[in-house]
Amino acid sequence: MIAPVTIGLIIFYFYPFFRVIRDSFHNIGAFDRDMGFVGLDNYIGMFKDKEMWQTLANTFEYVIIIVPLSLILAMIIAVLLNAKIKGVSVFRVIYFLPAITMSVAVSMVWRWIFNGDFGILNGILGSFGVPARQWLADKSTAMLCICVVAIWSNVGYYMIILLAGIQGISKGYYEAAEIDGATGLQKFFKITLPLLTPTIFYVVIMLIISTFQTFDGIYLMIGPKSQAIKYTQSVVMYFYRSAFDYSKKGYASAIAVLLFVIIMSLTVFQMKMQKKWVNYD
Amino acid sequence: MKRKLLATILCASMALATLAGCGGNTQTASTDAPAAETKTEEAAPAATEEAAPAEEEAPALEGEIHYAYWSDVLGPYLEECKANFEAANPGVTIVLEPTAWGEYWTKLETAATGGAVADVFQMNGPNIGKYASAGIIVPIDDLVANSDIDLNNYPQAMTDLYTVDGKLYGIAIDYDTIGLWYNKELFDAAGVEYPTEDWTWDDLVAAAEKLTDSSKGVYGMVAGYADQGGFYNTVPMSGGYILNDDKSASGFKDPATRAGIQCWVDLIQKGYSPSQASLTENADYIQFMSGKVAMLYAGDWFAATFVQDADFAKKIDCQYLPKMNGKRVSVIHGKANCISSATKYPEAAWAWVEYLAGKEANEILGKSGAAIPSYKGCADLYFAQFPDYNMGIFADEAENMSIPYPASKTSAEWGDIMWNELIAAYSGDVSVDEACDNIAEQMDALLASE
Repeated sequence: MIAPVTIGLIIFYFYPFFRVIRDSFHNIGAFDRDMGFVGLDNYIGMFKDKEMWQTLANTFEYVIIIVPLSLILAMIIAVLLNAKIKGVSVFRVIYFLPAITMSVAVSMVWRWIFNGDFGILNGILGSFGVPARQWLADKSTAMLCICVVAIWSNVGYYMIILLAGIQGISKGYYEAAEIDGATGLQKFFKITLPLLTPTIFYVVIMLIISTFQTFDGIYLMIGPKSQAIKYTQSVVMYFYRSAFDYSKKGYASAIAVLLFVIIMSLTVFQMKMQKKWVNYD
Repeated sequence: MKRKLLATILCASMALATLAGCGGNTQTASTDAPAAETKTEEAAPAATEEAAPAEEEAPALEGEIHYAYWSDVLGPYLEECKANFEAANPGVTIVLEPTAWGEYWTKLETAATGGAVADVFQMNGPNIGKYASAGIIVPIDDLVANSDIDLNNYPQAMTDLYTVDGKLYGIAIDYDTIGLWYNKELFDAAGVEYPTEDWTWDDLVAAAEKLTDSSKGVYGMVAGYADQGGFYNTVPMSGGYILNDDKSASGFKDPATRAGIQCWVDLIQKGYSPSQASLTENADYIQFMSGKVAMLYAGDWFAATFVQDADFAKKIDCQYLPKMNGKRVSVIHGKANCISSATKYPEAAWAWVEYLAGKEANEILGKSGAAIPSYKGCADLYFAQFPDYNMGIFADEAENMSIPYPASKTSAEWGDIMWNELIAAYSGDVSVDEACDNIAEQMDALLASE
């Protein structure tokens, strides 16, 4: 009964996992030709590679911008959508739609919105007298564009999760608070937020893991042949370019292993820290 | 406790098993789904063409040949060739597999890695070294020697380009050179005289200045990063070189080479060209076709793309590349068909390649207007498709002023290095000198390892 799942897991998860670790110690050239065991050369090369450091900086920047903003926005919208107003389910659908739209479609449309010469954004800004900018090709704005699109897509999904969390809080607490004369804001910070911490913990972990793995937006909106690529690429994007554009699959495997170690450490760290701030009752 | 032990043992043994097994590709997942069999149109061959001679002596050819290519402008020509070839060789089916240029090489390499690459596929200069050295394609010297093909019918530069380590891997099906395309309407609006045969680079810069009108968002000349369509031509004209004669070192330390690149960066910095950022977002020929730029260095093959827009087609013409230091050269390049070493039908694959290299196929190519056929004497058929344009310049450049396309075994790698370093120079982030220093360092190391 469990054979199909197990076989699938072995072929698509376990085997590639161990294979990538093994490949990171080899020099693999074009057409997957294994050119020999090179020990730690790939890792040492990564340490010396300026582009790798830039990429790590980019990725951390993405995480620092996208995770808090996604969380805060999702939280605000979840609280707002918890209201008992007419048509609230319509709004919930609208906010959730980006989460179920294919990331490829999302990226293509946003790419045209941001396009420097023919895009809508420049068109709208132009009517206010703002000069046109090459949003996606200029390294000072490209990263912002990726963040905007990522937050836009993230908010819907995490909002639903937070909403479910909020609705799981017993109404008794709020009634007690109202009797004591608590304002809306006090209710939020003293009741909702503390009781929501398990959900927030889950959301933060998922956000961090998925943001570290940003790829689609960068590949589709900026592309490997853009001059802004070095300043916007995430670790996964650099992994893709090393493996497929430069045919250095051994080096790419080392990058993948590094990413795994980073995400694993952060997740373990968060798991250990949850005792400090998450309330399970 | 026992479960944990069992799980740990299983994981560890899996790990050991993978580490022990070296190399060995696994999934031969075919990444290229064969294109749905295109309808065999009963394209009536022109009266002058006779059917390709059937292989009377050898047993009838059999097989299904997958043919990969990138340019969809070649579609009509290939379908007619397919129809003719299949009529003459009923046991063979040709499956045409076009892939967009952006993904062609990634897909080809992935397919070759997985052992599922097309039987015959198109190749170009930057990649021939990589595929030949890895043994992905077969040398065709013996096949050519035993056939009716006479290599004198094809440009020598092409035969040299596709010869690696003394072995020939493909015969060019077309050749192309670079010309200066310009938008007559924009020239008229700015009151500038059209480019002439005697133009120099300085004339071009002066015209670009007059043509640039920032209030209308119009620029004089496209000067974004382009190798074949850009500095591969201006570098030799400035007295520099990309590769030295025995391909042991690059020319990027030479000041003359740097001058041939600086001229482009200057155009951007003076504001006569859209910025590199703008050209990254919207390709150079697209900006040319939307009337945002008045001049463009582009190969002859763009004619087929330009005429797809009937209104735009009336506004343009082409001219010789402007001279620099009294010199005028254009890089010459062409596509070739190569046979995969993993093909199951080598005879049928060779027959298809032989047909495409033959006179009949070249004539079909010329008449389709997709590219200049490489077979001697067929080029005029192509030029006749574009009577409104000064297409003769491309043939003249090819015969009298061409330089071979710079390529070596590691072209694919140093092509990336050049792009990586120079794109920063074109964007104004680093100086041309600094970029060229970096290129020289890395490229010379690669060439030394060949």
